[in-house]
Amino acid sequence: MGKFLPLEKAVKNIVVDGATIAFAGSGGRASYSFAYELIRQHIQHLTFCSAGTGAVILDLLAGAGVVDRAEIAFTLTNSRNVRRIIEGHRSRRLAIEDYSNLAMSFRFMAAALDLPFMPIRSLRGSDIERRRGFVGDHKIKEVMSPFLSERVALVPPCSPDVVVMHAQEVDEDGNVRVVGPVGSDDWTLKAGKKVIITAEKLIDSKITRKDPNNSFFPGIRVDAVVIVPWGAHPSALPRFYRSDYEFLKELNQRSDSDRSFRKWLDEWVYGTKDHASYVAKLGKTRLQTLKSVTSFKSG
Amino acid sequence: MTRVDYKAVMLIAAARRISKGNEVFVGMGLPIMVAMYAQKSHATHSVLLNEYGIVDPMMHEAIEVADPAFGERSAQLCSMIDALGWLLRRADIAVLGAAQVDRYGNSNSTVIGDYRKPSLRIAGSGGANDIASLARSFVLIMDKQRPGKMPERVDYLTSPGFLDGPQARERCGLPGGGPEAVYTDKAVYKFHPVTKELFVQSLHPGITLADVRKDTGWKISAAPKLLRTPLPTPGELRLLRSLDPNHVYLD
Repeated sequence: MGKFLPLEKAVKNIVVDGATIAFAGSGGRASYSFAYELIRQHIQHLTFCSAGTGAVILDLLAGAGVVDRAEIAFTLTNSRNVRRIIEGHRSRRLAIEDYSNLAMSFRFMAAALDLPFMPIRSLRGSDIERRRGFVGDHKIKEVMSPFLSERVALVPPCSPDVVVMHAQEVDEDGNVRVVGPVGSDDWTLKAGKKVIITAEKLIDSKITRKDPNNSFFPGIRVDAVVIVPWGAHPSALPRFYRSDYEFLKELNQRSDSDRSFRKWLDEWVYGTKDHASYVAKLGKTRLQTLKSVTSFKSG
Repeated sequence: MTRVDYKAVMLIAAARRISKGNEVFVGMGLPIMVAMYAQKSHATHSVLLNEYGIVDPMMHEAIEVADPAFGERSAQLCSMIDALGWLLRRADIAVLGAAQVDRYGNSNSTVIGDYRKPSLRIAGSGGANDIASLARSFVLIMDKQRPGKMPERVDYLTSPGFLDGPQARERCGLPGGGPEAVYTDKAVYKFHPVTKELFVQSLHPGITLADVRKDTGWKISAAPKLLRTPLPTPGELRLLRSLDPNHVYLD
């Protein structure tokens, strides 16, 4: 159980200013609890990398001044903090390097397998290839295949200093079990120099070992585990709770200016000393509603 | 006469492209409605696939894009690399949404205006660039066609159509077949087999060629025998609306 830490310590011991971070978590499972703690501890200048995950978390972290660079495939049309910064042309507050979902997945795969690059058949001919931001010349390269006379694009490895994911279950050895869509969560985790799992529930390793096909990620490659009930709220956690659409809607509405977003942060993040007090603030009635309609119910 | 539901005309027209037993790779947003509707109407045994690795979900109603319930009762939940790198290449057809489409079917879902100083940040590629590059064939769905949304050249080329014209995809080594049609809330467009330019194939009920030309940034041609998109029957409309009881995609 040596890897088990409180949330506050996990952030303090592992994330430093200027680090590169990725939030895995495709079918819900986004570790909002970890993102909130980054904000509470005033972590700065992070680079956010993603293969199809964490778009709302990016909006939160960019709005809160935690993240100032992103290597991603997409933001959302309702990413109001990101949009306010990008459309206000404040590139020092946030600079984006646009890739595609497959390209970012391949970049994580290359890092995980310690390969110098991955060839990719998409991106060619597009502005993703032509227009470059802070990654510059190293964003995408093009070569002749040494095997056949064809041109291929290459993308560089992407190895985040820290990868965080919320999981339904983790056992005392840190083995991770998930439920729901997985996207590129596997390669995102494998690419991380440090892997942190926040988990809803601690289970006995006897359960894991009876059904090893169902282990999503091995504990031997997990650096820190934090047990955080409601750790993915307001995203969904299949089998535990649904997305909190009302909460997300309010967060979105209150992200319409720096000032009003700051007030939201004061209320929900700075104003709660840890995730347990955030959950308490949500209130029992709300939590009960979220629990009552969830996807992937067993049985 | 009651008002025409042009969004429904568009979605149902696009759904007709999907046949029985097709594997349909769906992008985010409206494409889900197109594929679901096709599956529940005429395209029996068609199979939905998406970039998050969801294989053949048993969907009965539309849900929010990011909701993991999308994957419930699916045949398999595989990885994004499996989905975009492997499953996509053999799927029969892909359906993609777009915010801007140009003369050669290139689409933009990233920014409006200059990339470094945009007036609007839309979203980005997600898997759209991969789908447009790699799919055997794909169709584009663009709601709310109006001036500026069909420029001669997109502000930012997120996903490749035929790029600059004939042979351009081949020169870039893009393996997919490129776009075959664009469905908007005003018309259906196809691509000329030689010039690879978009032309008007079919106008929705009550829309004129002049209406369409007002929106396009170049003088778009029309098919010699310009068609009229059929008005959905009450039964078709009922089915479509029954698939989105919570109005996630439909008004």
